[in-house]
Amino acid sequence: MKVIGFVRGFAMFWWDFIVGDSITLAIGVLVAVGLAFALVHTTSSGVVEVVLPLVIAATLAASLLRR
Amino acid sequence: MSVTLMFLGAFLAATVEMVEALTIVLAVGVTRGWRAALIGVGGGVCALAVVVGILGPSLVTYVPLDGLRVVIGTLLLIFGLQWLRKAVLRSSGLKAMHDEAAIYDREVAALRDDPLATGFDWTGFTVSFKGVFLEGLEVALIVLTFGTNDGRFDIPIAGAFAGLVLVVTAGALVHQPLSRVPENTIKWVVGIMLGAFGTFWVGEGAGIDWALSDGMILVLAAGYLALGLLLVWSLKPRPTRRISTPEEVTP
Repeated sequence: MKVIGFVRGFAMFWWDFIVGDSITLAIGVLVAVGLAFALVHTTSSGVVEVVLPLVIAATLAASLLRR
Repeated sequence: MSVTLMFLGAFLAATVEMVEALTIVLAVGVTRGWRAALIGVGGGVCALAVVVGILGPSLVTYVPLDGLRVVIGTLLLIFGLQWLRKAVLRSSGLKAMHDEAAIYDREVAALRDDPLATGFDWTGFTVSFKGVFLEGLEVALIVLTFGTNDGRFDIPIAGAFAGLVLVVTAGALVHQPLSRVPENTIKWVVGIMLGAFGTFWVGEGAGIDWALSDGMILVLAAGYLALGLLLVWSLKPRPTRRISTPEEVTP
């Protein structure tokens, strides 16, 4: 039981440390990274150069508007 | 350019986090005695040094650079956007400004409730150690990400160390929480810098060939600053107009 408690506490610490106050931010960033990988192989680098910062900007805005 | 930005990023991040750690350590020192407080600080700093010392070289040696850039860029982006989000919420008045004096008073009250034991004060040590280690962990990760991407750790470590020395010196001189540090302004700067670096490295790791090369970091930073200001403007509560009743209109 002590081990489970420790593992749970450890996991909660990292979750809180990385996800923090807004899960929208964490998910949005992962989506942006995934999208960059998907687009870079199917379209030109110039398009991804614009799309990546835009998705990140939208993520920040969404996390603030959904607070 | 990126060397200066990396130094500045680590320096500012360390300054903000160490101001918060100093508040905790001061509260421990004043209520429980300086021995346990300072041993806790030493333990926390050593633990952080071990994290950077062990993880840094192994990451550089064993993980391919592109994969590393994606992982560290993602982490930087998440940290940076969290900082920027908090700064926007505070600037727009939707979240209270960080008040070191109030936090200090709360810590002192909580520590006074816990009776002092004979011998070594483990409560004081633990609170002090946790304060330094937890506040410093984010700085350690920022140092790690900057260092692993550039293949050299001296610049970000020097930046973080300069921040630590500045805060410790200021704390030793004034002997009270550093409530005048413009914490939210620093959060803005660090949030924007981490966001810009994170976006740039994630892009490079994914295979983007940035048109402006390193100069794109400045373009991204300017974009995030503009977005942040726009969000503050749109989130600021505005005074609502009240429709006057006929009685109020007629004299």
